[in-house]
Parts: sequence; C-alpha cells; structure tokens
Amino acid sequence: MNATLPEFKIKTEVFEGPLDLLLSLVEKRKLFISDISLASVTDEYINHINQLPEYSMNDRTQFILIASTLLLIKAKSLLPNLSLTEDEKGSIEDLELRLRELEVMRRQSNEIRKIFGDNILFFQENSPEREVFFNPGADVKLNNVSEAIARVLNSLPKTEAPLPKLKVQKVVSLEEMMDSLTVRIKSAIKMSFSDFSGKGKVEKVNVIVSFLALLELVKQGTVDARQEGLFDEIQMESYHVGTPTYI
Amino acid sequence: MTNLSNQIEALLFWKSEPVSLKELSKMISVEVEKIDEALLELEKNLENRGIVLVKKDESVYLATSSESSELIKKITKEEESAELGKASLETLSIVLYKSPIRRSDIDYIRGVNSSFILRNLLVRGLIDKKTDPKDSRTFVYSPSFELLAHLGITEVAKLPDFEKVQTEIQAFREQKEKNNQTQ
Repeated sequence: MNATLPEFKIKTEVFEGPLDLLLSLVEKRKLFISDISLASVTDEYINHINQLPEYSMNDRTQFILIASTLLLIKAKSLLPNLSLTEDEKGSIEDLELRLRELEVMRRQSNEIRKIFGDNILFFQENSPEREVFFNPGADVKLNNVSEAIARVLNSLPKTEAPLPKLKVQKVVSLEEMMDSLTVRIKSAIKMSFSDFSGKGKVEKVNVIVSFLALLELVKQGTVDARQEGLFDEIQMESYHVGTPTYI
Repeated sequence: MTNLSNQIEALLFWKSEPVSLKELSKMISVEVEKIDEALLELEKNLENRGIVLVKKDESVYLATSSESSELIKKITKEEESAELGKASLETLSIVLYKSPIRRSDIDYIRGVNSSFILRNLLVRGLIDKKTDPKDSRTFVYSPSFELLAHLGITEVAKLPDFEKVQTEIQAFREQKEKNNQTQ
C-alpha cells in the first residue's frame, strides 16, 4: 500500500472526476465542445481511465459511465448511419450540456479569482452585541413583588397531611382477612367476591387485601374461585362443603 | 416625517447587521413594496459615498465602498487567507452564478461529489446553507454576505459577465430542450 501511495497522489490530483478530465482534454486541443471534439479525445480519455488506480471503485464507475457515452459519440462519428436510441441521444446531449456549463463556470472561476479579496467591502466592525441596559417595568415595586411571591406560595400544591398517617394506620392484615373469608365461605358455600370484600362500601385497600386473601386461599386449596370472563364477578366456593348453617 | 430611505439608512446603520426586507417593513410599519422602492433610492443616494448597500436574497447590509477598501485594508491588516484550490473556486463560482442551488445540481455540473468542498466553503463562511423552500429534505447553497463583500460587489448581479453567463446557460438548456422536441 505504502509503495503505491506517491503514485496515486500524482494521478488523482490532476483531475477532479471525469468531467474535469474530459473538459481538460478538449481544452488542451483548443477545441469547442462538440460531437467531433469529444470523439477525438475518446481514446485519450480511455487511456486515462486505464491508468486510474484500482482502489477507487466509485471513481472508476463515474469515469466508465462517461466513457460509455464517449464511445457512443465516437461510434456515431465513424458510422454516421448508426442509429441511436432516445436514451443514447439523451445521454450524449446531457454530457455536452454538463461540459458546457462546467466550461462556463471554469472560465468564471478565473474571473472570481481575479477579484477575490481585491476590493473588499467592509461591514461595520464589532457589530455591537446587544448590551444589557437597565429597563425595569413600571410595575416593579416592592408591594407588587411581595404580592407576587404570595401568589406563588398560594399556588404551590398543598402537602396532604393525612398521607403519612395512612401509612401507620392499621390495615386489615392478610391473615385476618383469610380467616374471615374461610369462615364466611364455609358457611355460605358460595359467595361472590363483591359480597365478600364489600366492594364499593369499604376502602379500596380493604378490597385489595381481600383479593390477596382470596389468592392465598386458592393457593392453599381452601377455596375454589371462578371468573367467567374478564372483569366478571368472581364466584368463590369452599372445597370442604360442610353442613350449611341455617340461622 | 423623514423620508423612508433615510429611515432605512438609519436603521441599517444602527443595527449593523443584515436586515431582511420583512423586518424593515415591520420596524417602520410600511409595506415591503415601499421598502423595495426606498432601497433603490437609498442605493442611488449612496453613489459616490463611502458606504454601499449590499443586497442578498431578501436582506440588505451596509458596508464600506470598494473605493475605501485600500484604506480599511491597511488599517485592519486583513490577513491573506489561504488560497482556495481550483476545485473550490469552481464550486464557489457555481454557487455564485446559480444560487440558490442544490448540491445535486452542483455535482451534476462538476461530475463529482462536492460535499467535501461545500463543507469547507461553509466552514470558511463563504457560502450559506439553508433548507430548500421547494423540498424541505434538501438544502440550497448561496453566497454569504461576506463573500459578496470580499469580491467587492453589492449583489450577485454585479458578478463579472453575470448576464452573459445566465443567457449562455439558458441557451444551452433551450438547445437541449429543442433537440428533445425534434427527436
């Protein structure tokens, strides 16, 4: 790799892509861009491609694409009767258009070089950064400020006092709930979860404990629970069907 | 009520940065068309003065005239910046003469990928990049105010042979169109 380094440097520095190469070949012969001039430089162009370093696939395809159009132009110039397809004609014209535009731009770039930095128009130096200047509104007064801070304080969310208390409040324990559940199911044989938990009548936390108790009892095999569909009522039944108690 | 072009002159002097016609119209509360006329007047008033009006797209900016260039260059000791290579200069010319232009159109004319050169020109502050108003997925490039000023011109239309270049390119395109139709 290192051995080839200086070699490819020389070659890539000379031409910036296929159009640059082609235009340079035409200009070197002091020709105008035309089918004839392009046909006459075709061989030389292809020679250049053959010398392109192997490494650059993308560059190569770009060069080869243009080469195929050049070969068309050359073929047409040698065999005037050769009929070209619409696409082929299009790509020839396209190539000529691009070369002409590039030629104009190259010519103009020399003009630009001539005036570059020659007669600079200067913009105002140190365009002032917007300076900070003291501009209190008419309403910045002590009483307004204290009213404002009061409003801020008022609008702060109130800390809910009962919340920490709730943590220490004794909630029905799971064991108690399980006992109560077992007793009640055994006596009633069958009952719905809503009836048991008192859903809607007691605090949500109780319902949750009831549900946990239910799960635990099902796990222990003390009760059987069924639910026909999602969110349907849960029916609980005791495995140990004892004597119903009629009171 | 002072004359509109004087008001604009004052505003531009005070702002000392590029100001869009829209901003001017808002600040002075006058329609953009009136601003346009007043700018032409201002430009005329500034002839043979030490200040010129630089125009780009829909913005204007006051700068020192090209006649005073030598004087200010001497004071500021404007550093000679590194040369732009041939390829960069070519790309820059395409942006100057055909702005606003998409990268794909630049690549088409040059026959090579220009993204590296464009990035370099952007970093050097020679060109500006903005979203293509016709297609928000792409960008268009145009010369920066500073580039126009560096070239000593007040608008792209004052580039060497600007009209000639435009008609020439137009002619190529028309010729191609004509060929396509006759086929």
